[in-house]
Amino acid sequence: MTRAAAGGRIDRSRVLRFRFDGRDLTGHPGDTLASALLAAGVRRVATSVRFGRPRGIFSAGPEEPNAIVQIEEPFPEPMLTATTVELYDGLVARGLSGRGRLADRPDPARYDAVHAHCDVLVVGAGPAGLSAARAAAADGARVIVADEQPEPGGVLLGLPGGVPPGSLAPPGAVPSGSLGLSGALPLVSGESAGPPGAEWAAATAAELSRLPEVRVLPRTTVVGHYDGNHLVAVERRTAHLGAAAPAWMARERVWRIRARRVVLATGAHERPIAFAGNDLPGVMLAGAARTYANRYAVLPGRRAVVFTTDDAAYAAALDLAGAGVRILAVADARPGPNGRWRERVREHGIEVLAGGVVAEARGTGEVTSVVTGDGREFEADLLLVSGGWNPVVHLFCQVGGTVRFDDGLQAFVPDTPPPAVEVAGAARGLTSLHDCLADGAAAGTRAAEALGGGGSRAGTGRPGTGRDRQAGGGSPERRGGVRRAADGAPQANGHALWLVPADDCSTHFVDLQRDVTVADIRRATGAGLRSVEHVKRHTTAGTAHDQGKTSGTLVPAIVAGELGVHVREVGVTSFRPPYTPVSFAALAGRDRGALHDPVRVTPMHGWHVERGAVFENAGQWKRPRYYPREGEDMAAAVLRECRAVRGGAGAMDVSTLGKIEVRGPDAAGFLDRLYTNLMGTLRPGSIRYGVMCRADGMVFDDGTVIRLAEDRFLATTTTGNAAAVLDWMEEWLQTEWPSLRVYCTSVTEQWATVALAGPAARDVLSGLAPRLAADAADFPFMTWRDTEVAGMPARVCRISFSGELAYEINVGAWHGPALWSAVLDTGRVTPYGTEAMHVLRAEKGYPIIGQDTDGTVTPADLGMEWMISKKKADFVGRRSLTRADTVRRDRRHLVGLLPEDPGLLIPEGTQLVEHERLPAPPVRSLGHVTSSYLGAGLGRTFALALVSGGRDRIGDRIFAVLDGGQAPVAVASPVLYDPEGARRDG
Amino acid sequence: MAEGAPETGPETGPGTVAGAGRAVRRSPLGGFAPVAGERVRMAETPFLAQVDVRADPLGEAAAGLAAALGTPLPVRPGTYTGPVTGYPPCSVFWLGPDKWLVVGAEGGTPQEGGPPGGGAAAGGSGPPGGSGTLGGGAAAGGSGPSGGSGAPGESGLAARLRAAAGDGHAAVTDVSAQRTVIRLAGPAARDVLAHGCPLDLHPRVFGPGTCARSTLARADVLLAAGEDEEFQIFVRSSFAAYLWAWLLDAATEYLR
Repeated sequence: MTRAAAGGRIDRSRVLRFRFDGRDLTGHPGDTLASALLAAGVRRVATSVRFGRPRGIFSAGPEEPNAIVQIEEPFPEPMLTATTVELYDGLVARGLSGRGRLADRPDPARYDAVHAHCDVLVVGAGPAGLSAARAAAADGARVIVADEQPEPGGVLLGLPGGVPPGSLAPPGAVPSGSLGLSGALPLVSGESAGPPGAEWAAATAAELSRLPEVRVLPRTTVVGHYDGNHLVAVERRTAHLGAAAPAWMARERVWRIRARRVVLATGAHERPIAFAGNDLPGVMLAGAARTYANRYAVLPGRRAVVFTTDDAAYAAALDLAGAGVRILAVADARPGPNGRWRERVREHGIEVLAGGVVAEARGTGEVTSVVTGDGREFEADLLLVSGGWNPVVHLFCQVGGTVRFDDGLQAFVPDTPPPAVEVAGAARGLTSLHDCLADGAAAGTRAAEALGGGGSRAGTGRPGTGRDRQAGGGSPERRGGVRRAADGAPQANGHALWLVPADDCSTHFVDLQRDVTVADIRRATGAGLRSVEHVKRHTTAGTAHDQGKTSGTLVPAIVAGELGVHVREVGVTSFRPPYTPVSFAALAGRDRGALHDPVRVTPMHGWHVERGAVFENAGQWKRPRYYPREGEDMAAAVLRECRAVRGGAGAMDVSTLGKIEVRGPDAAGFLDRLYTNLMGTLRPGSIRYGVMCRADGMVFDDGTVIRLAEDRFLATTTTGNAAAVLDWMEEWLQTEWPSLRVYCTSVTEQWATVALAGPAARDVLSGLAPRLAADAADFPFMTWRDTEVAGMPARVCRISFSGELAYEINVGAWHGPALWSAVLDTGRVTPYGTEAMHVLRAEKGYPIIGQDTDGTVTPADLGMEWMISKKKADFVGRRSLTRADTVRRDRRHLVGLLPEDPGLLIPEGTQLVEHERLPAPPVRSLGHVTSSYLGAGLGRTFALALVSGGRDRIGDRIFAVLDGGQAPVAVASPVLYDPEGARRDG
Repeated sequence: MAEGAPETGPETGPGTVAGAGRAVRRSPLGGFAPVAGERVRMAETPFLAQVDVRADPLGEAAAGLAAALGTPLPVRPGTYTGPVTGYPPCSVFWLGPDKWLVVGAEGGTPQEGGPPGGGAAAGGSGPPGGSGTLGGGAAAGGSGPSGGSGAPGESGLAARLRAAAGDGHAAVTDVSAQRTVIRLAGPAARDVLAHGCPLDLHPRVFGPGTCARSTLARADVLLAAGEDEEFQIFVRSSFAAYLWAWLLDAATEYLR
């Protein structure tokens, strides 16, 4: 056991059992998997992906490149960092080697998403973030604080000591310069009389949570920062409960946040140094070791060497020494280490090697000794490394902020902020606790002031407007740069040491997760690569799922060294969302299973379901495809339904067709401009079929137009194009012809519509509508009547899409089920679905837009020259119909095809060729089959096809290219059934 | 996934009303049991009269409508007026610069303002053209076009509004069955909506008297805020079952 006897933010009263790599272990609430593993003495956690080298725990946060684990129980989750997995009872996990395992069963957990709006979003609940939130909320602003940790405090959670007492007072009262921490790095504490930092953080967060307009979100990582201050965060709500997670509670929640201002208080990541063997288990970031000691009461080793370029590692060394780790030496690469820190560690008997480096970490499987640059070898099981601190600028850069290299810090720091974004604390390079508290408060105040003051914080303004810009262009101090102390000296005393030179750099690891070494980078620059983006792609450094959080500055610095230029000239690679990996399940939220996409149903849907209809999707609509009876397959059911329509009467639910009322004094002229044929001459009471083209002359949609009155039409559209046609109409009305006095109103779902078709249709209708004069003379084809059907107010249109005598009965949608039942209760009508409808219309050669057309088909190609008005001055697409290409004789025409084998059903999409035996490629295609069925009326198979010069080939023998060879087919007119229309007109 | 959202409901229920003869009306969510939690309540308000009005807000038709309604058509984006009393009780929702939705208590009736659930005569199932202002016995004769006014079975509200619009250029269209209304109420109603609606629903931004067309989950809706944390969600009838199931799912944590 390496757990200290006391201390830490863990609950020792409870023991959590877990299993790792087959070993049964224990930990406590408050542990991460990483801290529990360290406490249990587990040093090797994973295996590197390329070289199979042992890897341990390197960090204490989401920047972890090494300790990648697979959760197996309670539910498989791949590629998690042990440093961010909160320990729970029953956890079963194992170390990975670069690749995880997806669950082989559906995830039973719930996931959801929520939209949120606020005046100020503060990212990070460390000292700067909490100060910012408190300042921003002081005036009643709507504030959200999102923090990735289970409790607030950020870096304070890893510190032993206090925060300045003044910071519990209102933000403006924070005393400046009272703590004498100048030169401390970072957030060194333990010197003040204030309460422990974590307690201050908890109290501050609690105080914030009590405010009605403030929301504090723990366990919430902001992963994306987009234009207009739209941010995406993921809240982990039950994963830390393991199997005890309540099933009703969403496991993860995606927050989509719109913030008027954003304060980024995202802190800093410590970075490593490249030297031989720097990947061995036992090599750990100094700040991480400090966090393990203070927060988790875990000693990550017994005998340690410290290798640093800054002061922070001294604080780590002292904390670990205090906890019982023997610190053998501090190798401080700086020629002149900070004298105060040097003295303090010497008081603890720790030797400081000024200008010293670690040349190699040695060991098999883990660190057993450390060799310093002067050749001394220390027996040690722990090597603490601190190569400096990188401000976490990921979100800042995602949204367009630029960074610059700061020579004082030896790091890239925020430079020009995007609109309405503030950066505070360590995220902009500040290094002392006092400064971070004050900076956060100032940022929060600025954010609140930029909202425009006044009593209302309603948040109705748009981000990035008004006074927002002022802050962005303010003083240099406010522009995100590193603030200097009053005496003008940089607060940080960073020292550039990126790698310890050696002849063999093949174990100088830069990107631990991708196993990229200094040698790899040298190979890349040696091959002539100069751009850090190219080096990244060539070596894969920074491309693993940690996205190079620890290697992000090391790589450009080493590239710069190789090229002999300053690192600022090399720059950083692009920062892209997400900041940390996000599960697909979280992104899917509740949009899965039955809620994956809306299912649209007609008023009669319940009946269809009860009768066992097989449905097909038409866009989002569910439409009955056929109604199989006992023992029937699809072919049998469709044939029976077709025969019923051809021989008696069938009914179909056609409520899904789009319906648009077009009203106004210019309605007739408007429709004349949109349809290819004349609509203005249509008489009230009559119906006309119409085709619309796009401006390119290609068929866009078709349907019937009913003239209700002089100034009023009802246009129907195809099911799939209902919204598109309305948009099309509005586009022309609003942008091209605003002078036309026309209003378009969708009434698609106002009506339920039943198609009644077949030779017996009139008889059935007459029985249901005794007040309707239904004789052919009184109610001819292509007219409509308002009447009552089965006691319901109804509009009956005499139109046919089957070639039979047919009506479409429209009633208010609430009456749809009653009408449907009334029609079927006559006992003379067979319900039929879309498949039978397809067969019936195809026998008549009626095209379906979108099936028999594909956006390259003109009305003439469909054989509808008669639909193209010669009388109208213009209509949309008219000019295109006279282009040389659209009048070619060999354009593909819609024709019928009759296979010589009357039982052969040619698959839709089949290519058609001229020759019985395929010549050598290239083979010219004559066209393809668009629809193919077994026709009930025809008593044989048939097809519709688009065939080059097809109308000139009627009677010709061409060939369908099938898997088993070519099948001969006869080209025919597309109208194969009742070409005279006698049945329809009956 | 949602529970309690049957594919088909029973033949009676809040959304099913027996009309004349066999003409039984059925609302899109008929048969879906209302939800009555402490923090979330949810129920369909079926069979409202809904009329889509298009007109120039400064024109003659708008003036006629305003006079008839006793209140100007709202011109401030994202607001609604009402309920207007003294007329068939109705509310007027701003949908666009020249577009409104007028919603009355009961659809499908040629009579004025019958109370909800007013029985067969008010149920819109009676013979059309029998009384009220439904134009010219449009649907009764069954022998020809209606002469340019109402559609068969349209609401009395639509007919009255059309008459009020007069001869000015306007479109007054009965869309009572185009959408149904889900009433969502309770202290967690805003939270439920926030799971699927990108609008800022803060009471100071989206308080009583405001409305907006937006998306809720993957459905287009008209959302209107009322008093006492109550919202009306107008949704296309074909999307209603989907949205109901989605709302039930989104409300899971608030129904415990």
